[in-house]
Amino acid sequence: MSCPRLKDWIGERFDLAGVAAAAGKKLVPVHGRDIWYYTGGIVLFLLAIQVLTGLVLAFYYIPYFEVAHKSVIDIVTKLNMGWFFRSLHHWGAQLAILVMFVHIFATLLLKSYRKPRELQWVSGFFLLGIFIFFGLSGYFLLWDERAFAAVRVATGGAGNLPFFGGWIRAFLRGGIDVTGETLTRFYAFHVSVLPLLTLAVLGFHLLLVLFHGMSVPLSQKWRNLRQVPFFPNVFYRDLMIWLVVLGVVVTLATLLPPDIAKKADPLAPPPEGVKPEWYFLFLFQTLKLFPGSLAGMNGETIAIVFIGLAILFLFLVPFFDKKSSLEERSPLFTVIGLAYLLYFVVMTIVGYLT
Amino acid sequence: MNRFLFILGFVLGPTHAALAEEKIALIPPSAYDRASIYLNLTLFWVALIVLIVLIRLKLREKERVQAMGRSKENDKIPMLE
Repeated sequence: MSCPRLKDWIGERFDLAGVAAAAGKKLVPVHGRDIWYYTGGIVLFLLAIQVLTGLVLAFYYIPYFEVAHKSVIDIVTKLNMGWFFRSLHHWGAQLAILVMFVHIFATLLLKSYRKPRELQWVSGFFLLGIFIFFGLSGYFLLWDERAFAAVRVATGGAGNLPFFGGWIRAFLRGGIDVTGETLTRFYAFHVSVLPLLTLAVLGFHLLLVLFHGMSVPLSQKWRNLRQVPFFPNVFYRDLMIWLVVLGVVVTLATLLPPDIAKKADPLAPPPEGVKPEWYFLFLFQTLKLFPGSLAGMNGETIAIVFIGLAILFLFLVPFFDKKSSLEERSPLFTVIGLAYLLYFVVMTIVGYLT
Repeated sequence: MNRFLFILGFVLGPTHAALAEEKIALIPPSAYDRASIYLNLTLFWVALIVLIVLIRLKLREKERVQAMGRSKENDKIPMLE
């Protein structure tokens, strides 16, 4: 089915041939580490799934604390395929954050952040933060006791930041404690503020990817690398990987639908053994390492400052790694990257098991 | 005593039932619906694999044409009768 008249009609209004020619001219290097190029595309695909399933859920979800929990139960039990869309949205989010971490750590270890791609790293880091906040705000919309406790802990932790902590906590909660106001606020973040931010930052990130092209790792830089056009070669591989990812998400959504706990009661004590989502476990475990008070100061505040500085160092790593920016090998930053990765993985596993 | 326990059970029984945690069916609970879901999942994977094979074949064809030093196969080549 070629539809030449339709093609002509569109061609007279948009330069589709020009876009196709530009995509064909865009070359992508082929080497032993090019598998990591596809992680960015996977995140993009998962984001598309999130947008579509999120739109469907938004038609039926009621963002008011007295009925929010019941509306989720109604979506799962009364709507045709409602359980599937909710489950797909849940697993899509989990995988998007997981693949985003993989993408970030691959970029870190392959030094793809080096000059002139510093802003790509910075915008990617912002996107990770946005995705994590997407996860937290979406989890809270369920308005069950576990989500309630998790958000109380997370916003309370932010409140321990020096200087602006109290203000950030009040801004996130919409008051002094987590209440129905927080739900309204998190809903606004989840469906309007964060999607707009994502669009802006993602657009900037992709523009930079188009402008600079794919980064070649230093270990492969001096080899005579073959290059293939983005379209169709890389695009077709992207498509195949996306189909596999779609299969994985659908299978997880079907076989492991996410649980719904009891409705949140702001006056009830937090349930025993409550844990945050997996991507907060390393922070949760780090907080546990610090005593209640240290040198007369609040231990949690010191822990938050320590974690904040470690994240800030990672955020600014392209500006510290001078050797990589000169296209020289920098083993120190490889070790630092591996240490970050190891810490994240070990603490997440320990947090999950304990 | 027995009468007292009977009355006590009668009074507290419904309260206990109300306190019991209601289990939410996260996927349709009937066996027929579940079988249909798993069958659809299997068919979905079959369709995905077919699509992946088709894309792979198409990609290999494109790479074959590129290896000949052309960006597109000439569709005006006369066909053998």
